[in-house]
Amino acid sequence: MSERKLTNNIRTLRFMSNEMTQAELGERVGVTRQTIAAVESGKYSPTLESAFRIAEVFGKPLEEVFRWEA
Amino acid sequence: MLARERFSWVQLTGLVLFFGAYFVVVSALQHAHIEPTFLQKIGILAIAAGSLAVVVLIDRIVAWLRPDRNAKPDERDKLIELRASGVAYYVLMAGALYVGCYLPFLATTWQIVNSTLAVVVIAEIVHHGLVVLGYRRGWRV
Repeated sequence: MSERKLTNNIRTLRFMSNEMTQAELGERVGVTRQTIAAVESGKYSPTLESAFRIAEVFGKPLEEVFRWEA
Repeated sequence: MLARERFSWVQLTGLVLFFGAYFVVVSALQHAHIEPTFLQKIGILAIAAGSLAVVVLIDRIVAWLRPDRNAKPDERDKLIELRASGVAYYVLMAGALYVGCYLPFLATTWQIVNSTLAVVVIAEIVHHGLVVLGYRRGWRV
């Protein structure tokens, strides 16, 4: 099986949500600002629970926030 | 930088500097065939451990003064800690086997004490090194 990388649209979605900061998003999800930064840059894959919470904050389905890199 | 990451940086630097210096002094004395008195041996060790304790204490005070002092570890913090502890455990176990099962047949008491200390220091360096690496480079599942 080929190694695929998970990417996300969090940065774009934050920008579209009145330029929400990483700290604000982190607070709403229940993680630190540094964890949001790590998720955005692809250094850390969040747990399923956090992934759903992030999607919930933006009011989007999970697959619109996280997807496999083409 | 998170307080947890900074703490690991402080511990890592302190361990390498102070205990590195301690083991350099101890091995230099051994190679020069100089046998320090018991108080001198304890004194050298106390200087290394005390210096590390002072640096760690300062870091803890600085962390306590910060507004995020009550921040609980999140899932990433816990994962990084878990992985670092897991690897350090095996380093500690390997060292314990070496010190406990092999060295007693070869070394003097003081060499065994220092080897035990070295194993603990190495395991801690591995632990904090991996924590720092986990925060800097990230770990993908």
